Amino acid sequence: MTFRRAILRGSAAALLVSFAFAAPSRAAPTLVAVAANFTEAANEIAAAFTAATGHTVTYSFGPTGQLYTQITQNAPFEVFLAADQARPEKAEAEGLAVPGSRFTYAVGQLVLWSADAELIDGSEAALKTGGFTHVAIATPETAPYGAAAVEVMRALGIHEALASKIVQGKSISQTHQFVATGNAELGFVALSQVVADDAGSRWMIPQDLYTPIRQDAVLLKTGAENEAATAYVDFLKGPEARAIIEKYGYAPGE
Amino acid sequence: MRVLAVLVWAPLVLIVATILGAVGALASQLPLASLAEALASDETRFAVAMSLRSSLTALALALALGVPSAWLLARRRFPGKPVVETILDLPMVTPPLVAGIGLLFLLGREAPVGGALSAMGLELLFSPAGVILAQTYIATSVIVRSARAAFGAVDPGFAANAATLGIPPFWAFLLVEVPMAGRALLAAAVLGWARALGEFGATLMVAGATRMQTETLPMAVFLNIASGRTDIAIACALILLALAFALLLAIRLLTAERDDSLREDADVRFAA
Repeated sequence: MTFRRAILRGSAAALLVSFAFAAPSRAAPTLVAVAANFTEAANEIAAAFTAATGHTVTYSFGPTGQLYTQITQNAPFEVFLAADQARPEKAEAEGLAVPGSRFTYAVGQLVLWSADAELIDGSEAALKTGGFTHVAIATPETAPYGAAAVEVMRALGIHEALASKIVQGKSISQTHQFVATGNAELGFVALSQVVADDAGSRWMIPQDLYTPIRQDAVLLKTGAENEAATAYVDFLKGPEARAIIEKYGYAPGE
Repeated sequence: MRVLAVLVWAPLVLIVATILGAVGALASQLPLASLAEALASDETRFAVAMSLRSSLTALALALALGVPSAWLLARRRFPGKPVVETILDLPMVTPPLVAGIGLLFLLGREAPVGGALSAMGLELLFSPAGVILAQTYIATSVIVRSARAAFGAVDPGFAANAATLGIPPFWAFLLVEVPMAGRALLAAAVLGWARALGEFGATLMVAGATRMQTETLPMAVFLNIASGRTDIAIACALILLALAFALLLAIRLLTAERDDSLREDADVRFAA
């Protein structure tokens, strides 16, 4: 029955096509999980790392919590660059990371920023005079920059007075969008988000007004035996990486 | 007549204008140089190819799984059917992120299922296969639901007639029922494909966001926003929209039948 055979052949071809596309193609010497806020700096570090050592690094980006969940499910990541200290600490405590390998690679800097060049005069004055309808912060419960923003407002004694003007972004990138689009006249964002942006006005918030936003990295057990992974961790601590980290608006770790 | 014309045309114009407004607002934020940069970059091309391959593969898998299931649900009674149907609806109502976490826990190497697959050398997570898995999971549910309605609208008598002519049930299904439900099945496939193409939440969880490996167009939008390249992100978003528009329009035009029950609306000029 030639007709039947033709149909069978057709379906076999369709199946083959679907499997050909599904075949994985992986060839990554070291795979590093990176908190999304560090994306740009990480990319530049990757290029410098390859130039310096010959090893290559591939990144998987995402929110810190998501990366952590993936690590607990045996994701093939070998190094973990988080946006906080809690998750690398947990990874270490749960035996997922090489003990003692945790270190602070970057310290986030909080800045009060407005897209309006006139609004902020380089001090907290704009916050106190209150000539605005919305001030944006990231959700304090989940975002370290949001918690820091609340600490700053408390330290200045204006948190109560501003309560009705606060709008919360789901993440620090959404908070930045609120301010960049002018939907909030000003907001607490990460310096790394506005460091390359000459427009607008800003106040660099003194570090003593909030708990330092430390971002920790940890070598995962999956990467303990991989030379490229350990070399990446060493490179991240070195002067070349630190210069890049500073350039992107973070203070380097100690 | 004029009142009716306003009542039916005004909502349509409003909906279309809002959609165009949102797309136009995106486009207005995009310098031409950035679009050119995005189109020329290997990464964007990879994302386009990855999106097309993975979503079409997911569509093929979802159709292979979903169409027979839909037929069964439309034609047969069996115990616990309402429960089964509700289970099939679950992926549609759970947030994609939740679906992704569920799949991650199911297929992690420590889990029984993931461990067994891993022992067979099948690594679905954190690979392009993971992208297809997430998209298939989301698309299948949509396809089952729409295809079930499609088969429900076909009189089972036709398949019975085919049987009296000596056509085996499988061929009656393939040669009589599937073509008769054809246009509605196509609509189901389009819906499923659209969900697969735009899938992001589950993919991020199951496959991870790795440049040039699991990078679909929605993933490229996410990665570029994260690295502060909003312009490239918008370019990728518009490429995604343009692709979807072209494919959907092509399917619509190719399958359009002249339907004499429709008439030209004499009031169009008025509304315009």
